Amino acid sequence: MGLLTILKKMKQKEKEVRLLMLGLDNAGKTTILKKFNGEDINTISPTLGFNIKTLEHRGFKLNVWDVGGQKSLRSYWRNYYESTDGLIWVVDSADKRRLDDCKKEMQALLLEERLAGATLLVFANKQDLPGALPAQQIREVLELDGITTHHWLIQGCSAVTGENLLQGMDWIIDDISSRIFTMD
Amino acid sequence: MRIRYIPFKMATAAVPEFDDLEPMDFQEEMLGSSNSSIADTKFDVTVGYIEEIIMDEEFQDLQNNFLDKYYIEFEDTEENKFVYTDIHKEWVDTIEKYLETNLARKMPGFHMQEFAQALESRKDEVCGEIFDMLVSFTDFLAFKELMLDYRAEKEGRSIDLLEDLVITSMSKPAGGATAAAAAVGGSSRQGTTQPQLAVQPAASGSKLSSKHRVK
Repeated sequence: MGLLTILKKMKQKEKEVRLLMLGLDNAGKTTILKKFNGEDINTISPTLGFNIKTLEHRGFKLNVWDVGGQKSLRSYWRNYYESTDGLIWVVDSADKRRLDDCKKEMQALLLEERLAGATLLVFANKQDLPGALPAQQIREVLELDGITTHHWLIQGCSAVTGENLLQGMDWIIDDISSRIFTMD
Repeated sequence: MRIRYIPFKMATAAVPEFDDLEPMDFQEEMLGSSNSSIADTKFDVTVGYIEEIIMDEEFQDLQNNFLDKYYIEFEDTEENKFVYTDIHKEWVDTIEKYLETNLARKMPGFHMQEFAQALESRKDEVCGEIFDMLVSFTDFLAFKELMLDYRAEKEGRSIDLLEDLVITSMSKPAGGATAAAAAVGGSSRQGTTQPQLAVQPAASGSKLSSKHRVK
């Protein structure tokens, strides 16, 4: 670790949280980010790189990193693991065909050393679509109950209507703050 | 600000190779002090040198060369390209390496690891502009903005120089002015690529370096 990185860690502001949002392509990561931030969600195109938003929420400064999910882009995810406090895994609950792929990618992330300390929030997105699997079923398919290494929660939501986005965010912030900020 | 800033003279005197500033007095003082205050002095001297290195023109050149090399990759869009991350990483590495090399040059036997430990043991004292500035180099969004500002400045300035070109040619005899005006008109018809390319190398400006100096 170089000098600047050490200084950065030392001087990290209290109540500053870094969230990394990942998931397969078309899961709705960017839509969640923009909806949560109160932005227009009608003109979102597939993310080929990454987006960053700094949001103020409940007195916390949230640095949210949203990285493109297409298969060819997933090898870049590793460049964004460092210093992550919370991992938000976004699932297209209506895309049953790719749920297995979705599980593999998510389970692989949980083995990453640099994400070892991160809280996991799974957004079972697109609950507004008629064919969407409920969060309970996504939980089984992704085998969330087998996770012992991370704090986790699954939250059914809809990025389009905004339903339950706040609940999920509040939970992950609470979990992170109870882990990190009470230690000082 | 709790960091004690070492006046330049004292910082110089602490290094054996500079013996023009009453080194004897200083050494006596050192002999009489405890281990912890020797460590404090060493720490403060290092911080003083970091300030010196950062304020030096050579460091501004290093930054400008870096911006020059990569600014063309940066576009003013909300979404970021993956290559930005690589470039930012190289930026942080370049600055860290530069600091380390120059500190070692000023303080023979300097070890970054040792200094890093000293920093961590002074967690609560480490404040002040110099540290804020060092940390700001690691801020991705600040870096992106710096690149975009640099790009805007380069591309904006090239238009200014194009205007200068027209003004200069107007002072020539009538025939020459017409020819120059025609040449300018001709190049703008072809698009601005050519004149921009021609003036870009001259555009690395003092404006930019002053913008990025310690505030």
